[in-house]
Amino acid sequence: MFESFLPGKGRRQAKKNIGGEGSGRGGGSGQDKEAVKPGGRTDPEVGEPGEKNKAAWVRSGRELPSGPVSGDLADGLQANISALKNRFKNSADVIYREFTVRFGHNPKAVLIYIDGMVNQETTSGTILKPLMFDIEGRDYMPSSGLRGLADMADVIANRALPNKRVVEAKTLKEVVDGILCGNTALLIDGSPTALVIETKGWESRNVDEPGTESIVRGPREGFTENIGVNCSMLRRKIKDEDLRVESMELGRRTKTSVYLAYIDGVASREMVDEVKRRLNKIEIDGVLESGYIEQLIEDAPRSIFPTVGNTEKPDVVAAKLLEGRLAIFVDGTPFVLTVPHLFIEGFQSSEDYYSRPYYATTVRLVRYLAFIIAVLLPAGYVALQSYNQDLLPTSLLISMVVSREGTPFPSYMEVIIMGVIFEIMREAGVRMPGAIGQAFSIVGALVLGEASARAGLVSNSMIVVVALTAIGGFALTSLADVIGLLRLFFIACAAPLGLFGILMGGLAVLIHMLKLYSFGVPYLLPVAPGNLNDLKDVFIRAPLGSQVLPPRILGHRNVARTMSRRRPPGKD
Amino acid sequence: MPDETRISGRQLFFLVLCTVLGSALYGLPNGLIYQGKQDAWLDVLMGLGFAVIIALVLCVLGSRYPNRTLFQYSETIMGKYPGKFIGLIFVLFFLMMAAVLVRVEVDFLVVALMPETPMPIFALVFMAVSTYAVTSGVEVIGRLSELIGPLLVLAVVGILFFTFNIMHLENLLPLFQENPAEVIKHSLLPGGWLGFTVLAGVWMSFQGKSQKALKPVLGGTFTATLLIILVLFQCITILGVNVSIQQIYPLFRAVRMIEVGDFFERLDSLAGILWTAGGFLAIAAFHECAAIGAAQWLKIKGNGCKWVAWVEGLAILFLSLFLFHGSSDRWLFLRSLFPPLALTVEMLLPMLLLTVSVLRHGWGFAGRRSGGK
Repeated sequence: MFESFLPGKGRRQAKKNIGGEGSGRGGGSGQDKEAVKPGGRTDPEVGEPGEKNKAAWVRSGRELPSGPVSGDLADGLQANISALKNRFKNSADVIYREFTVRFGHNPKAVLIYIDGMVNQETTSGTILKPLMFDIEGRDYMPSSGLRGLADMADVIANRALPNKRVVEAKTLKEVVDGILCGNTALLIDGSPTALVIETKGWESRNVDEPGTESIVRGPREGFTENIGVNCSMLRRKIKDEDLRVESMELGRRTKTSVYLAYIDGVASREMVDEVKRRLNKIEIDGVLESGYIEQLIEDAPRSIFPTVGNTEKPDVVAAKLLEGRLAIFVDGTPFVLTVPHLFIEGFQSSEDYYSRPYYATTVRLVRYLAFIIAVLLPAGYVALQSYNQDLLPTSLLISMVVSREGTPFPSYMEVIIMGVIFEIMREAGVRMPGAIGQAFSIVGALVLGEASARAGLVSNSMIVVVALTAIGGFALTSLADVIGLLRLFFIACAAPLGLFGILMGGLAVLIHMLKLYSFGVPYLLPVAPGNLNDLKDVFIRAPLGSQVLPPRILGHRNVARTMSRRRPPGKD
Repeated sequence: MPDETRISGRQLFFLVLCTVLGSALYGLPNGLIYQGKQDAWLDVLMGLGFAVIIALVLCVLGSRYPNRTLFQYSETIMGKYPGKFIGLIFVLFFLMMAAVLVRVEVDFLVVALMPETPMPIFALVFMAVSTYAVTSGVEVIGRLSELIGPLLVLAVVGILFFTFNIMHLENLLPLFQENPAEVIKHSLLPGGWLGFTVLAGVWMSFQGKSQKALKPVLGGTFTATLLIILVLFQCITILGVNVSIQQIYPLFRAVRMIEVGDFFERLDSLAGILWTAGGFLAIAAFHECAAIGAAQWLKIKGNGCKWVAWVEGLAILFLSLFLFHGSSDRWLFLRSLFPPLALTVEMLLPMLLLTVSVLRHGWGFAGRRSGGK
C-alpha cells in the first residue's frame, strides 16, 4: 500500500510483498496467489441509482501497481483477521469488533469497519443487535436447520440483517474494498464467505444554494459532495426509466465513484460509447475533483477553450440531458461535468428558459456584448489610441487625449499594467479572509483607481476601460478564464498592429475555435456549421413552443420536444 | 486535408461569394470605373456571363467526376502527363492569384490604414494566419466563410443605408455610352475576377453531392456580381466618375464621407478592416486550393499536406513581395495581363477538359456511372 506509485517499481515490490505475506501468515490460508486475479470484479459499492445498470458496465479490475490484495478468504476467523490487520497496517481508524453470534452454534464473528465512515446507529442497531441479542434464535433458522457452516453467512444475510444491501464476499480484496468504501464487513468463524453490509454514513454538507451560479428565478438547490445525493436530485427531476446512470470507479487509490448519466434514446449511442471509451482509458492514482476527469477526457487539452462543461445545478444538468448531452457525476465534488460542451453554452443560463423570451433574449444579447467588451475593449483602446485615432468621434477623441495628457506610459503599457493589477486584485479578493475585505476594497478603489489617476500615473479613461472590462468579465463567470487569456492575446495583437492586428488575431482565434470539436461535435456548432433550427437558441431565445426539435447533432433521433406548438388559447 | 471532410451548400455559397467579393471591394472599382465610366455595371454584367459559363462547366465536370477535384479529374481526362501539366497550371495560377490578392490587400492597408508600418509585416501576418487556416483543413475555411460572408455582405449593403443623404443619382448619367465591342473588351477584367469561381472546382469535391453544387456556386457568383455593381453604384453616386478614377480606393473614400448623427464619422478604417476579413478569406481560399492541388499533384497524403501548406505560404509571401514594383505596376498588370491570363486558366482550360471528357466518354457519362453504383 505504501510503495511509490511509479508503476514499474511498485509492481516489482508488490510481488515481493505477496510472497512475504504468504509465508508470514503461516498456516492461515495458503491460498494466496502470485498475481492478482484479472477477471471481472464486481464493484462492491454501487450506489442505489446505478444499480439497475450495474451489469451493463462493470469495470474489469485492473492490476494494481502496488499493495495487491489477493487470495480468497480463509475458513478460520483469526487467519482472516490477521490478514486484514496486515492489510490495514498502522491504521488506527479501522475498528475490529469481535463478538459471539447468539444462534446456530454460537460462532465467533468480527465486524470490521472504518470509524467515521459508517453510520454507528446502523452498525449497532441493525447488525450487532440482531446477531447478539437474539434470545429465541428460531426465527432465523430455516426449518431444515443449518446445512453446515457455509450456510451460516447465507442465513444471516437473508434472515438476520435488515440492511438495504448485503453482498457476499469471497475474496480478501472484496472485503478490503468494501471496508474502504464505508461498508461494514462481517466475518464469521468457520465460514469462507464474508458479508459486506452497506452502512455508509458520513458527515456531509446539506443541499445548499450553489455558490457559482446564482439566479433570480429557478430552483435554488445545488449539488453536494455526495454522489448519491447528487444523483437522486437528478432522478427527482427526470422521472423516466430511460434515464441511465452507469457507475464506475476511477483512481487507483482514491477509488472515486463516477456516474455517467444520460437519457437513452435522446443521447446518441455513439456519443455514449465515446464518452465511456475515454473514461475507461483514464489511468490516474487519484480523482479529487471532476476537473481531473475533465482534463483527462477533453478533446483539446492544449486549447484555452473548455470543451467540457460543468455546473453545480441539478436543473441545468437535467436540461442538458434532455438536449441529448451526457453528465458525469464525480463523488466528492458538487461540480458535475456535461459533455459535449459547445462555446455558446457559456452564454446560456438556466434562467433564460425560466423567464419569458423577450427579456431572456435581451439578457442574452447583453451577455454577448459583455463578452465583446471584456475581450476586446482594452485591445480596442490600445489600437484606437496608438494607430486608428481617426475612428473616434472628434469630441470623444479630444476628451481622451486630454485625459492622457502627461501620463508617462504608452497606452499598451498602461492597459497591461492595469490589467495585471486588476487580476491581482481579483485573485486576492477571492482568496482572502472576509474580515480584511473592507481594507482591501479601500485600497483597491481609492489607491489604485482614484489616486493613481490623480498622481498622473495612468489616465482616467484607462481606468474606465479597465473597470468596464472587469464588469464585462463578471457577467460571464463560466468563460472567465477564456476571457482573461483572450484579452491579453488581443492586447498583444493590438500593440504592434492596431485594428489590423486585432482583426488577424481574431481570425486566428476563430480558426482555432472552428478546428475544435467536443466529443465529435463542432465547437461553434449552431453558428458554424450553421443550422437554422438550432440558431433559435443562440443569439435569441425563441419561445419554448417554437423550439420543437432538440439540437440536431446532439439528438440524432429528433424526438420532438414539445408536442404542440403553442397557439393563442381559443384558436385550436 | 482529408477527403472525407465536407463543405455544406451554404458554405460553398459563401466561399464563392467571399472569394470573388472579398478581394474585389478595393481591388476592382477604380479599374472598372476607369474603363467603363458610368457603364461599368454593363461590363460587370457581361463579365458575369464568363463566370456563369465557368460555373456551369465546372458543375458538369463535377457531376461527371464526383468527389474529385479539378486536379484529379484533369489527370483522368487528359491522361497522366498532360493532366499533370494542366494541374500544375492550375496550382501555379492559384498561387499567383493568392500572391496578387495579398499584394492588393497589403497595398490597401499600407496606403489607407497604417502608412508607417512596413509592407512585409502585413504580408507576413496574412500568410501566417492563412497558413494556419489552410493546415486546419477544408472544413475550417468553409465554416470561416460562413461566419465572415454575412458580415461582408452586411458591410457592403450597410453602407447604402448611411449614404442616402450624400448620393447624387445624376452622377449615374449618361448611360449606355459604350458600344458592344467596348463592353466585351472591358468585361474581360471583371470576367477574370468573377472567374475566381473556378475555385468551386476544388470545393465541389468536398461537398457530399457534387450535383447539388450548381445552385450555391451560381448563387454565390450572382450575389457577388450584384454586390460589385452595388459598390460601383455607391462610388459613382457618392463621388462621381471623375473622383472615383482619381482615387485608388473609391469605395473607401466614399465611406469616409459617411456621417451619422454628428457622432460617428470617418468610419472608413472600420469598414476597411471588415473588408480585410473578406480579403483574407479570399487569400486563404486560393492558398487552400493551391495546397490541395499541390498535395494531389505530388500525391502527398496525411501530415505532408501541412508541409505543402507551409511551403506554399512562404512562396506566396515572397511572390507577393516581389511580384510588383509598385501600385502602378500592379494596375498595369490587372488591366493588361490579368484578364487574358485569368480567363484562359479559369474558362478555357475547364472547357477544354469538358470537351475532351465528352469526346472520350460521351455526354451521358455521369448518368451511367451513378446508375451503375
